[in-house]
Amino acid sequence: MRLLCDHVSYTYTSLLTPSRQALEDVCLEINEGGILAIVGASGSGKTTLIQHFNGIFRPSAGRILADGRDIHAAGFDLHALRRRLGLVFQFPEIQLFEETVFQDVAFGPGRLGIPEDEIEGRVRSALSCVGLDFAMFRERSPFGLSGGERRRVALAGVLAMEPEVLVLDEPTVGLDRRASLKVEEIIRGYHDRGKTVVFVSHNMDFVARLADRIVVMHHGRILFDGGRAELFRDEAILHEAGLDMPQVPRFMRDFAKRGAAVRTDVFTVEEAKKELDRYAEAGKRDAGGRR
Amino acid sequence: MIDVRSISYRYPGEAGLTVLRGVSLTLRRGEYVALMGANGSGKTTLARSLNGLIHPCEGCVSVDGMSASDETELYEIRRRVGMVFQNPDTQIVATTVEREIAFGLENLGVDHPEMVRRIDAALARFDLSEYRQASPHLLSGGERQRLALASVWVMHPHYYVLDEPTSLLDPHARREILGFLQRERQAGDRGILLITQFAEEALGCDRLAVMDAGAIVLDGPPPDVFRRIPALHALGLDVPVGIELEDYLKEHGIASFV
Ligand SMILES: Nc1ncnc2c1ncn2[C@@H]1O[C@H](COP(=O)(O)OP(=O)(O)OP(=O)(O)O)[C@@H](O)[C@H]1O
Ligand SMILES: [Mg+2]
Repeated sequence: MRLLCDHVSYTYTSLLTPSRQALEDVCLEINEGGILAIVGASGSGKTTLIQHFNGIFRPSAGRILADGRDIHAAGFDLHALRRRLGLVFQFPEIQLFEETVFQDVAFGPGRLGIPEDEIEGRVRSALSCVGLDFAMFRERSPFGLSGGERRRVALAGVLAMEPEVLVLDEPTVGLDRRASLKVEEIIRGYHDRGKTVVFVSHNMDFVARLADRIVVMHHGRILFDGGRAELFRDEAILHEAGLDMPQVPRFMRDFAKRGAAVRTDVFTVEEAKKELDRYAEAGKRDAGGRR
Repeated sequence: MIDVRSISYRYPGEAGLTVLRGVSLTLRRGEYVALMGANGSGKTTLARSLNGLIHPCEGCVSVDGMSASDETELYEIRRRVGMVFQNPDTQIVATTVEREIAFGLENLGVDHPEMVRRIDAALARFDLSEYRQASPHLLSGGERQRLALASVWVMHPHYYVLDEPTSLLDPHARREILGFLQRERQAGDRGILLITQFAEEALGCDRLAVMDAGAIVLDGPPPDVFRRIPALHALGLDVPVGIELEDYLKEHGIASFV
């Protein structure tokens, strides 16, 4: 599915607080098959933006198009859209309400009309995707889980619906390393199958490892839209948007400052180790040549 | 000092698992301790035992010599031990940001001018002034976390027990909060227990304790604990990238001038 935000603006109005413009003239085209990260300071409009994708919010001005059709036009089937586009909220645990973990994860597929005998398989594989043991967790109450466990169950609930587009708001919050790696796998798996993933995150390490495109939001506008190497090279934009350099390129940059000719546009620990090896090899060759 | 002596705990109910197994931990004023551990390892349960929200089945917890199992001491213990929960929504009770911060102060019996002074300072310090009259439920996740911390700060606790307090903050706000905690520890002589999944955050602490399946399995200065990279990975934890790569350089004899 292709998504297009066409000059979207959105203003929050409430009786208690002065109205606030959360999005201003946002234009964003999301084609099939990429991994898009949306980053930016708190309050810059990230959550508001992605909640437009499945019609939870309606733009105050501008349009949201899915495969070229305005999702708020008369006759557009928003429910069908929501089946194809799965959104995991920032506080996904508030979506949990059934008595057991099994029922919670099965809820979405049940509503999609998936046959009973297929549901168990889906629940099993969704729980295994998030690293929860089926036998151990199926009968537990979602309310008696730890924070990270609850988030994983909520994520499994959306995965079990097997949406075409996966939209995740802060998917690694509260997750331990093992679970974050699982989420990385899920996102890469989507990508490998040619599907689209959009996620919002403050975790620049996670963003840099995964995203092939990054959109930086700043005061409701798009400040930057491009590749990670380009973004993390641009200290002015990082500073303006209040973002951090991810740990891996930061390390490489510091190492380069100590006089080593290494690339700084590497984003995973594995890539960094390879680059350090290459550098060490080159050094040995030079030394050998001189001798 | 908060003194946890070999406590065990199991949640009630037939499915109740033993989630704490003989945990011992101390936290002194002026000390900054990080607590890391995989999901479900028992961090939050341990935190909840520190101010008597749950009572251990075995062992004991004391705060400045008062027992956390003694109901008559609980009021004073909760005044001294300020808690910020993992999900800020579970602790927000009032209808405006200002009233949320005032809530605990009213119970403390702080006089009005002092109350106004502390609230103003908290709004400014946690960058919430523009939301003074707003409903806490309209705030973003990161703003709610700042509000939860502000509400604890105004109480002038002796100890902070913070359950992943920066998980929803943007990088700038995270740095601000970490700087704030350092100042509270040093200038304010507060004891701080910081539960976190961010290995980098633990680097600034005096000690790092690591939990696994209800027990503390490592406890020491962060640089020592982080040196055990394979062990930490096996426990499901991250190591700061800087430490992992420095270690790689050393192990492979790579220097910046070859
Ligand atoms: N109310 C409850 N009833 C029963 N079991 C519970 C309850 N709360 C937590 N548990 C279980 O106790 C264990 C420890 O939970 P705890 O919340 O202390 O973990 P945690 O280390 O804080 O994890 P996380 O990183 O996910 O927040 C987990 O196995 C969890 O499923
Ligand atoms: Mg917890």
